[in-house]
Formats: sequence, C-alpha cells, structure tokens
Amino acid sequence: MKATNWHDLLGVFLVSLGSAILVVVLVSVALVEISARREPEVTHIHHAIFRTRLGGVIAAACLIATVAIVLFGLFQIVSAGR
Amino acid sequence: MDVSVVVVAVVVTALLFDFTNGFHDTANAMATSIATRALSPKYAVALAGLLNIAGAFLSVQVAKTVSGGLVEESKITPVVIFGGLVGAIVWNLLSWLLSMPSSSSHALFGGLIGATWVYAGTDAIKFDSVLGKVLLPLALSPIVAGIVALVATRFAYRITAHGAPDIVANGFRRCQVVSASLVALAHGTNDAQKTMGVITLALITVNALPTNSAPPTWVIGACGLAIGLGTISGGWRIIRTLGKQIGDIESPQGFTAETSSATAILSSTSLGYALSTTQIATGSIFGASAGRHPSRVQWGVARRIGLSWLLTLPAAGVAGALAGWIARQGTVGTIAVAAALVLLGAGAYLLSRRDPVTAKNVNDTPDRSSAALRDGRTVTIGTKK
Repeated sequence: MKATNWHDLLGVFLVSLGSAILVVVLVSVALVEISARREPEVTHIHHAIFRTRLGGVIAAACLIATVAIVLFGLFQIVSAGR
Repeated sequence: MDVSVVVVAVVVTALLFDFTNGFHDTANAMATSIATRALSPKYAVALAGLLNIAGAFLSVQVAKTVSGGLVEESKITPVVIFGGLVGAIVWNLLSWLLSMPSSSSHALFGGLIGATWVYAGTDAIKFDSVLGKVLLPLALSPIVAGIVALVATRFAYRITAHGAPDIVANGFRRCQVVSASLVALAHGTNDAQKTMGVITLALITVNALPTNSAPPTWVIGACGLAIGLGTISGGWRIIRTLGKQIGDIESPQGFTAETSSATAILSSTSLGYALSTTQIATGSIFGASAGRHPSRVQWGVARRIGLSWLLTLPAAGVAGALAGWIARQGTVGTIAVAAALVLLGAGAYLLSRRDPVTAKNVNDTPDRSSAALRDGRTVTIGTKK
C-alpha cells in the first residue's frame, strides 16, 4: 500500500467540493426558476409568458444536468470497482 | 483448535459486525431526511437498507485495500481477526448506547491493530499504511466534508433567497430523498467492503484464497445483506443525535449535507480510500448547520462527538487485544469471548430500554436544559446569546 498521497487526498477534496457545489447550485437555480413560473415578476403579458417558458426550460436543464452528474458519479464508482 | 471452526467464527462475527455497522450508520444517510420530514422514519431506514445492499455490489476497491495493507497477512491468524472484530463490535455497542455517531471503520481498524499487536508484535503492523491510508483520511474527512457542506449551504440559501419559500422548501425536501439515497448507496459501497476485506483476509490466512484476492461473490452478498438488515433495524439513538441535537436542520441544509456526504464518500471510494462515512456525514451536518446559523450549532455536542472519535481507535484496540489474547488460548477461549460478547450485547440492549428511542420519538427535540445537566453543562453557545 502506498504512503500518504496528498495529491489523491486533495483530489478527493476538490472533486467533492466542485461536484457538491455544482449540484446544489443547479438544484437551487431550478427551484428559483420554478418559483418564477408561479409568480412572474414582469408585468407585460408577452414577457410573462416568455419568462415563464424560459424559467421552465432553465429549471428542466438544471435538473437534467443534476441527474447526469449523479449518474456519472455512479458510473465512475462501478467502473473503478470492476 | 480446528482452523475451519475459527474461520467460521470469524465469518459469523464479521457479519455481526456488519450488522452493527448498519444500524450504527443508518443516521449517516437518513438523519437529516427524517429530521426535516422529507421521509418518514420507517420508510427512510427501509430505503437505506435496500440501497446499502445494492451498494455493496457496486465496488470492491476498499475491500482490497483493507485486506492488503494494514497488517502483515503472513503473521496473523483468524484468531487475531476474530479478536479485532470483537473489539470493534464492543465499541460499536457502547457508542450506540451513548448515542454517539462514532466511526465503525475506525473501530474495526482499532480492533484489528490491537489484536495484531498482542499476537504478532508491532512488526506485523504497517504503521505507515495505517497513518497514510486510514488515520489521516479519517482525521481530515470531517473537516473536508464540513467545509464542502458549509460552502454549499451558503450557495443554496443565497441563490434561493429569490424563490418562493414553500416551493424551495418542498423542492429541497424532495431532492433530499435522492441525496439521502445516494449517501445510503455510497455507504453500502464503502462500509460493506470493509467487512468483505476482513473476511477475505481471514480466508487468505488459511490459504482458502490466494494473497491479494478480491472478495468472492458469496462474501459480497453476505456482507451486503448483513449491513442492509442492520440498517433496516434502525439506529434511532444516533439518528436523533445527528438529526436533532446538532442544529435546527431545514430542508436546504439537509440536502446540502447529504450531497456533500455523498460526493465525499463516492470520490474517496473511487480512489480506494477507506474514509469513514460517519465522520463525513457528521462533518457535513455540522458544516450545513454552520452555513446557515453558526450561532445555533450545538458545539457542546461536537465536543462530545470529538471525544468519542479520539477514544474509538484506542478503546477498540484495547478490547480487540483483550479478546484476541483470550481467544488465542484455544477453543475454550474463543467460546468465552463469544459468550461475553453475547452478554454484552444483551446488556447494552437492556440498558437502552431505560431511555428508548424509536421511530415514534426520534424527531422529538430533547430538553436542552436537562440535556445540559445530564451532559455536564454542555450548554450551547448559540442559545446564550
């Protein structure tokens, strides 16, 4: 077994930090956009429809990206263990 | 003493340890989800148990690490491994009784090191591996997870400050089901492997497997099942400590804590590090609590948990050394150790019934003033202000 590998430990920290923040930010943005769909802040009707649709697209994109990150993480574990 | 009998004893004890590992660590995945009521307590532990079983089949990286690195395999016997497992179980039962979320991994390593030390001397222990691959990561893991959770929590609250509160709260609560499930899965991939490693090590010592073998399929299945059943039985005492006694956990904090735990556990597992899921999860919950209301974090609880972490390795080591020394006297010694373990388990259970924590009262917030008296004035810093 190898001795202390600070490079790997740093890798664990950075990967954890990066992926956790990315997932949290994506979910947070998705929730804000879903909130905006219910209570659009713009007054003009066309802008409101556009903003609502855009919010839905952004929310969906964020959630899809989150699912992709989770699936990628699982794939990494399975492939590393075999 | 018949070697095959000892190996069977080791396998049974290892699976018993895996069971205690399961109920001891249910809180890692589900404490915050239960606290925020994202999941009902019984459903949460059932889900965690099933995902633990599934996780055990995903990877054997850590299992290879445990069996191949901590001690000289040529110098130890199954009796030593038996002693180490007993030491770990003893500490797991004691810390569960005290509602302390201590590391089962740490206990296992402590027990193994203690038993090996008594049987084969210090030459059989690879101290550089223990330090580099076990102690250092175990010391750093709660800090890393805590920092990750703290930063993630700040991001979550800052971004969602512009959202509708009910949508945000419900959204995070639903996402918590996914993040908690991921932690449970990660727990299965990480912790079940440690017992696989120990059983594999026992089989290697009696030449049932070649050196550096990966765990056989039956070992993987049995370990997954043992940890899953342990998880399903629910470690309510520790769930309450992590979910209700550290801080007032809201659904965004629960989500960020679980996400931080999952990413730390999964990334460390992929690199073959035997990180403690308990210390990662506990660090994440403290980080998530501090990320929102630092003044409301129960630092007195942190001190008690920290003390139990410091004691885990030496206490399990002493228990493992004692058990190993008695067991090496022969079959009678092994039986005596097993009987003592059964009595200890029964005693721990009976003592726990004096202050029972179940699925029904796991979310009750303890009376902090009486808790402070009971714990020697561990009054929170935050509530004083």
